[in-house]
Amino acid sequence: MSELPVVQDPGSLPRRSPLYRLHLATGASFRQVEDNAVPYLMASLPGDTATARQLGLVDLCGLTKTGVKGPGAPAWLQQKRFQLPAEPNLAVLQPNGVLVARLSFDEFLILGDLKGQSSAFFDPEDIRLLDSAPQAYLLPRGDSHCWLGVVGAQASKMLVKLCAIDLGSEQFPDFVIAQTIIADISVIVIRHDLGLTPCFYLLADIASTEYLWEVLLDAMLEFVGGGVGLAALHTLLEQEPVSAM
Amino acid sequence: MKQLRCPLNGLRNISEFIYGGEYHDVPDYRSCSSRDWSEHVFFAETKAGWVIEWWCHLPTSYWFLVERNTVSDEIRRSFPSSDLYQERVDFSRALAREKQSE
Amino acid sequence: MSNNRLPPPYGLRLQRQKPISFTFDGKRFTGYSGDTIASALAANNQWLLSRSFKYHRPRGVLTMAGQDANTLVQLPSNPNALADVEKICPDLKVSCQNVSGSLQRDRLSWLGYLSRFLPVAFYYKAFFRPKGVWELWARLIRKQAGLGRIDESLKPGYYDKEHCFYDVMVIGGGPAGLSAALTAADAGAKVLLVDENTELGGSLNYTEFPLDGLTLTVQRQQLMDKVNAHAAIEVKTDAVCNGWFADNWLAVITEQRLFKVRAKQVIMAMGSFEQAAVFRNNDLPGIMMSSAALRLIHLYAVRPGQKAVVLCGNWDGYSCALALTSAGVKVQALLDLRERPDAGHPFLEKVEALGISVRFQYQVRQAVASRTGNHLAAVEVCELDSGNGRPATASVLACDLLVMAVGYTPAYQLACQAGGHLSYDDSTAAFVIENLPENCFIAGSMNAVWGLDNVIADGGLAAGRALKALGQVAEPRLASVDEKCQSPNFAWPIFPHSRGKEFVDFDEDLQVEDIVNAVNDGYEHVQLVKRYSTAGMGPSQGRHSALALARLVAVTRGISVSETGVTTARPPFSAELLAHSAGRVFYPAKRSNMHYRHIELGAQMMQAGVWYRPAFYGLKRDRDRLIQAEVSNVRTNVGIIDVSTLGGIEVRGTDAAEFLNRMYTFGFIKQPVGKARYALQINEAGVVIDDGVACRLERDHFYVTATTGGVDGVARSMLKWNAQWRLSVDIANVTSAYCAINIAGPNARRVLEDLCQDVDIGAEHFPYMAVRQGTIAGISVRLIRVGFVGELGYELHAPQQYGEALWDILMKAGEAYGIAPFGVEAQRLLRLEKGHIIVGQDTDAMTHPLEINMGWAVSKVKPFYVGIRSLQELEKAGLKRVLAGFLIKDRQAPAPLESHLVIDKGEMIGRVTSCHYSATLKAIIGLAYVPPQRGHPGEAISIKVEGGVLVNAEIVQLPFYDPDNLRQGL
Repeated sequence: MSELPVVQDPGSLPRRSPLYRLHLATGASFRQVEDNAVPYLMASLPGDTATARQLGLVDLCGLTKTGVKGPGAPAWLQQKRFQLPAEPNLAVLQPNGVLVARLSFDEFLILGDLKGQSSAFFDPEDIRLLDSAPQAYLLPRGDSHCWLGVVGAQASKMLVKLCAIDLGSEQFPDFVIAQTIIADISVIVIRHDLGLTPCFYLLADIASTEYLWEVLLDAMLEFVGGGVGLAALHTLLEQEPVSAM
Repeated sequence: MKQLRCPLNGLRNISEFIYGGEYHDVPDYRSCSSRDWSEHVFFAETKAGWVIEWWCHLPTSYWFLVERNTVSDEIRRSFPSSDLYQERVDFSRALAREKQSE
Repeated sequence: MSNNRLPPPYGLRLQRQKPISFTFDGKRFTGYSGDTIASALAANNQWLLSRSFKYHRPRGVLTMAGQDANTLVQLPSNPNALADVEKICPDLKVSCQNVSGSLQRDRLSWLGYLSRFLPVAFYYKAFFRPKGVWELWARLIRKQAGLGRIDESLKPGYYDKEHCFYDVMVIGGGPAGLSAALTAADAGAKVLLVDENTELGGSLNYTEFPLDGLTLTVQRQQLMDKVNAHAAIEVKTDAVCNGWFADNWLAVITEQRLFKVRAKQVIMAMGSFEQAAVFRNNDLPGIMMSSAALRLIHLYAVRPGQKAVVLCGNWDGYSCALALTSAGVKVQALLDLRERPDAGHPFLEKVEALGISVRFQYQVRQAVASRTGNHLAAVEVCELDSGNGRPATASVLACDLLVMAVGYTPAYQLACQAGGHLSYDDSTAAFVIENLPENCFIAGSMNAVWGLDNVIADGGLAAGRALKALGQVAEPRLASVDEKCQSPNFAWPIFPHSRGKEFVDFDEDLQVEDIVNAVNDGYEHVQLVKRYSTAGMGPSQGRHSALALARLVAVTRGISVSETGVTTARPPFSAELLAHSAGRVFYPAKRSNMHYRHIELGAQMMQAGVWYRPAFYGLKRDRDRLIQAEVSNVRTNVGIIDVSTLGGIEVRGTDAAEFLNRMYTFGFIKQPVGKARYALQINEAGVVIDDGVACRLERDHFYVTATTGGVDGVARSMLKWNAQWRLSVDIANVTSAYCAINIAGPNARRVLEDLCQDVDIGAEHFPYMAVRQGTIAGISVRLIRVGFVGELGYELHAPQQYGEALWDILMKAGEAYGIAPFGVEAQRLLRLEKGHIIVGQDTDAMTHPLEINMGWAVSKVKPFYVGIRSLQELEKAGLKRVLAGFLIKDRQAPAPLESHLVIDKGEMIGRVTSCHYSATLKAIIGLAYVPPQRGHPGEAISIKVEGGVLVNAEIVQLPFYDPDNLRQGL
């Protein structure tokens, strides 16, 4: 696995997360994924990791993601050797760390791995074929949605302040999806624990990213949670064994 | 807050949904009388008792149908629209005419 | 420390090692940690707490449970605090409310003497004639009305909301609730147990059940230990369940958090409210419910008096007499309203063994006040009125305490909010709750079950029913309830007095006569009596008046109580702070990727729905000049505007063209690939609801734009229609996935020529309304040649996160050509000059395409589109109005605003939809609806503007600017 390259100024890259200025202002350091940047450290690695174990918020907008939709989507994705969830509102982790979330009978959201290695999900040739595939359509999920992670032991305790569905571990185990409303906006919630640390991915309209980020930080205040970088997530993944798939 | 069961997403607060009007038969716009057409467009039946209604789950834009009692507000069943709409709808006769004129 | 304090173990709530000093009405008092304001004052022999609302009568402890308005006091931060619930804290400054002068000597207490002249519904009767007189009286009366002071300097606190989810929620932590929670949790349910008190236990903490099975303390301890140790039971104390809403959605309020509880099953075990007897001066301090006396003794170690009389209609009065005696109160007499039982009763034996005189069929005729008028000094008692008209001989008993034990009302409020029906059982003389919805149960005294063993068994039974409803097959083995449990309610504890002051409702100072008169005034239904007399409308919401009210209405009307009906209970159950509603509210906002570039350029941002958009760039005070300058730069050089908020919908599939053909009025089947076409959407009624352009990117792929505010509805309606049509088409709302920039002006092409290498941007290769896919500095861009602002222009749609970079590239490349950003205000003026409408601004809920001169955008050959039949009907009916352009030449004339009226001979004939001064045309221009015959160029119209001034305008041919479309076609 190759290290992600360091990037000093995310504003120098053509593709910019809606939050990069916020992170810059708080002194974050960044790593580059494709032509975008991800906040890698907010403070120090031990500091970020300690926060993330309790309650951390991470901006994953810089990681790659895409979507495929249409009655022909399941067959096409299987042909591309993706393992698909059997039912809507479930996700399956692929051996390479990519997460495939089934949002409906014929709609899939594909999230890149946290190491930033799975930059392209399909070859250009695949995409060309997709155009002629019967009833399967690529969705611009890379830009339509933000991708935030709420991580840590207190994650569900914080989220119940903003969300009217039960995200407790019994009702909402790993790899379960809820497409619901959080803080008055539509959000796709995917549970994807990092080792033994609970983690919820929140995907919402990308134009609402700053709003959602601020609402989440505010709701995290009482738990002394805060922003963390991607590196903390890597640590959590490495230090605790990922449960067998 | 009332709850509604979405066939795709399960039981959710009613605030996650938007009402889409009554489900009822649509008169043939080509042959019906003006009166029947205006009834269809402007008059909701607002029947007291069991009705079928359109509802949409907002976060997923998923449309489905609900059997609800408008007196007791009891919900008996929600089901996908494909249960009632199985065939492709064509305005074929007229379509052929248009093709000729093209 | 004071004369009324009892030694331990009395005082369950007290921490005697922690004395606390506070002030009441300017005087310093000391209590213990755990004391309420009222208990600490009572311990110091301060019984007077407030003055009543209407007559300023002295009032004191009545329920000791926060169920009455007698204890309302003012705290520095909070008016209307309940002194019998609010705990004392060091140096708390408590003052009294509704007092004129001092609490001890209230200047307005003479109002009581006027009561004869203040009949029920006095205000309704006195102040409505002559017309307008109420306005004068209102100012005077309002000074007397209303309670408490708001602290306007209050600093905001941290209030929050939280959702929680349980299988079973139990409300009330008394014996029934504890047993219900345990039974449900033992069977595996996830349980929430809520109690408004500081500790669980309910009546177990203060009543004595000396005749029930196990001794009280043992039973109490066993239940509490099990509940507290149970992993499946979450306990919330000091938590008030304030409302039941549909499908078991309950509001639970704790100090600084509002919990929204969703429970699959709800068990209400909220107990009962003890009721007052109705006799003259029954509101004097020193007269209280038997349960209040017991609470004072056991919870707060306060001796409620020195010499007591007990008035009762059940055995609870005896139990209280025993407790009083143990606490060192001398019980002078026990007046039992009932007949002496034929067989003896263990309670009777015990009481008589203590030497307490028990008088059966005895009542209180009136209470007598002390010399100050502020406390009970004696009661005048007599044999129960036999109804033969002869007044019985009265005797006087000196006492400073009268406890009343004449019956209860179930805590019905939540159950009734849930749809339960409160009805009166004439045989038990009690309210019963019936007709509860599914998944909602009641238990204990709330369920008319009495006696400790029975109540505990009933809690278990309710849990059993809840478990069954949860789908648990194996029902737990449960004890059964003894059916013979006796009602503690005495049917008629009401003793009218010729001189009145027998209070039915303490909050509103309503006497027996007031209720009788209300009925006699013709308000027969209890709901009407309530509104007319205001009975039950005060702070305690009928908790101790509803029962007496129903009984009085029934007797006055000569019907049974069960026939009178009861009033409706609505949330909230008790008063709640506004902060609980205000805490954590959401204001969603959307920002484009270029948002901060606008800020850096000094843009004044405005909200368009949830979006932030630049209105114009520069200082607010230069607004008009800046807008005209932005317009002028578009007309002469090149302007750039962020239009990312524009809706975008991808329509793909073999039926894509057919689908658009049905959704929009134009024809799309023959639209060539690489072309854009105006798309006008109408609804089934023929009304214009949205517009945009449909770009055919591939044979089976359209990218359709929609208005910022309309796109979500458009996409949703597309999905709904196709759920019925089942065409082979995929519909995806991709609004936020694409940022968009409109670059417009005579120099627009030159800017793009330098940047876009892979698209031939030349006029002949990229004509008006053409669509191309290209790249700018590696960013994939959809280019659409549009003309909304009436100049050569291109809309660039790129993946959202490239927005800021794309903006920078265009601004830099445009430098040489005089590029400048323009905002929404300039765009609105530019399009107005060009005569383009904005759906929603220039259209309303009736506008159809023909009225806005858009017949050209409606296909005449299509077999179907949504709204076709209605539009045909509208066309047949003929035009009623048209949207026309008008121009005001007079440079001095005041500019009309949107919705100003077009006036003809004093009649309204139309209205303005858009209007602005155009520097380009050096005139005020606008759009207005006018009758068709008035819509021809050259017609003169007049518009009524601010101040009623009529302004002359002339109808002109649209567009105002560049009628031959030479500029957008450059």
